[in-house]
Amino acid sequence: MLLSAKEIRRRMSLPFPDRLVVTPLLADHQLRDGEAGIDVRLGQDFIVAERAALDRIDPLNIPPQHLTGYLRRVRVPIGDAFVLHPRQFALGATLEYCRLPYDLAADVIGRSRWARVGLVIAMATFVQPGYAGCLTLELQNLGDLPLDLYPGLPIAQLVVYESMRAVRRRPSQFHCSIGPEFPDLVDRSDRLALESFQNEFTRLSAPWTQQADPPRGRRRGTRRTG
Amino acid sequence: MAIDDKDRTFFKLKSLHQLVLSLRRHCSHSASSLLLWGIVDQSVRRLIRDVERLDASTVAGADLVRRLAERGDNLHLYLGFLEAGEANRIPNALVSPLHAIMQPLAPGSRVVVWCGWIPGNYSAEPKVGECLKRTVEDVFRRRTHHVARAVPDVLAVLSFPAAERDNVLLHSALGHELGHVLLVHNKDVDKYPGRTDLKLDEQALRAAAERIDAETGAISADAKVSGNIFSERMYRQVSAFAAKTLARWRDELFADAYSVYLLGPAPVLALYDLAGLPGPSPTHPPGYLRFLVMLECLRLSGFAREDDNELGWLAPKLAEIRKACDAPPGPSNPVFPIIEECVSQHTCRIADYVMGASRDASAAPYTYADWARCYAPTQLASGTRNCLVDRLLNYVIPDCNEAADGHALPASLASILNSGWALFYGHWDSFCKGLGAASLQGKHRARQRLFNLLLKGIESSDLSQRWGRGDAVKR
Repeated sequence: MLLSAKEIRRRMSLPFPDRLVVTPLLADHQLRDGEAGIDVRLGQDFIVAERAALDRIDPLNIPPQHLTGYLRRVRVPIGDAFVLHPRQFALGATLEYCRLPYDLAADVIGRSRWARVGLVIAMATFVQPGYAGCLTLELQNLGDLPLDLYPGLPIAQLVVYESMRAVRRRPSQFHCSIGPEFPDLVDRSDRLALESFQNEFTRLSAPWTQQADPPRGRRRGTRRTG
Repeated sequence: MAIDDKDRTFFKLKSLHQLVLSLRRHCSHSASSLLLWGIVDQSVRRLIRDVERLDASTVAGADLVRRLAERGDNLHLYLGFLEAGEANRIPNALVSPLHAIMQPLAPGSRVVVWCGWIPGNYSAEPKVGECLKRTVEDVFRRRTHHVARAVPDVLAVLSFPAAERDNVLLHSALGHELGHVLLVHNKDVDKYPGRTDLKLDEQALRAAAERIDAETGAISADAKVSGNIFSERMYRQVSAFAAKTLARWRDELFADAYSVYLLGPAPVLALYDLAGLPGPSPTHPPGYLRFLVMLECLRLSGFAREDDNELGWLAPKLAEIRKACDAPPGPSNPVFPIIEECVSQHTCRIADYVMGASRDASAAPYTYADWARCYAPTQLASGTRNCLVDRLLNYVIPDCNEAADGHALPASLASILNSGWALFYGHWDSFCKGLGAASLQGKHRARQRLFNLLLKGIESSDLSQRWGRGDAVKR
């Protein structure tokens, strides 16, 4: 069920742990009566990629320290602009810190006025129940001209849904983040499962591939040595 | 009461939180172990040039030069405005986060902050050149002898171990160092109400000298009889030593009291964590005296000892402190016990001096009233800080209090930092448990998240104050 502004306001005044928190709300018009959703502002922190620093992102083989060379954090003071060039991709975050109770979920979506100049705000838009932190925005400029993005501009909106029953889950790796975060693309359990699958596949197919080409999908390091 | 410029100086230092934010930005995003920031003096500017000249000759140095150059233009332009006495013409884009702190302290006030763990940290260091030299040696891993010339005036010097860069709670130590700077640059603070109380220390000093005379006189008389000329010299040295020590201890206690004025109980707990209960030395009073001064300041500003989270945690430590009071003096120097006794009689006067002065300036911006609003005794039971701790326990930034609960909006830096301490000591296990942190690594991550919440809370509160001037959304 989609929550109206009135209902959102009510949920914001409940005691913990049922309280919905979106803070700081700097102006009244971020939460207008008669609308369904809260306007959220662009934060000051950005992550931009330096393409020359990395040839590719191979989720199984990239050491974390390589990512820190590839990604550069930028902090833009209030009043200055972050320039997003055409076809450039950057990670941003909302200025507001959000905390959803376990029975609410949310979608962060772009505002149409920004969509009309080619700005994509977010691609992974769903916010899980129980999430706490600033929401990471995947910014991309699909237009033809550079865009000056000023921290503090209301560029997205948060639409809140009520779920049928409370959903409790372990805190994610982004829990309590206060800016954009770059993820561990593959977590440990997935990595182990994939590697054991690859080893098993290699072992089973070994008799059949002694004279044939090596199987596809093996790790880069293995391919080089083979 | 009319507020003159010096009173404003006293209170504008509350923009300390901007320094905390700048530390966070520059420490976490820089690989360098050397951080020079907010330097507002020509001689220190020369120092930078020395460092830069040194840098160019080494590979590691070239990297540092590059990093300095990235923001060097702005820094030099900023310094240029300040040196020309045109601080009011500095463009917004150039304003350092330290500007608000440095401007009221000028002229002659400087703060050097760097990252990297060196001896001599956390001090108002008169020979900053020596400290810088060691740091630069550390950076370049080779001995350097021509790096830094000594800078004559006192500077607040603060350095952090790399692992503690994001520990906002540790930054409360800066309040103590700023107390030193304030004392040094305001030698004529007679205008402050309560200054006469501080002068009583000189009486204490005379009393101490007389007692030492009396107690060591017998020894020296015996020595004269035995014809030992050296003991007469020793007697004079002991008196001079006592006077000097007492003056230094007084300065330290003033700085402690001032840090409590700025940041509430946070420095008390930070001191305990950092220093424990160290014994007396020629430069620092014994730990328990410092605690007594700080606790007296807390009491004067409305803290009760039992009904408060932080002081509830501190209560067991008080027993330890009292035990230290009763214990025989550890160090071998027999002068220390006499000085201790003299100073302990005047600790409350020092606290009175600092807190009494602060009460008289409630009309200034960033005033004591802001602080007192969060710490008034009537607020303690269901007060602001408990509300902030409640927010932290639910992984929410402690930036403001709900209007529905009748609390002030938004919260001050002091209340945010202290709510962090309260959570750290009172509810840390539940906080970690909620995050599923069973292992040491998990607790480390939880700690990092707590710091993140505090930093975001400080930023958010600051932004709310500047943006809406308290006109937040009515819920």
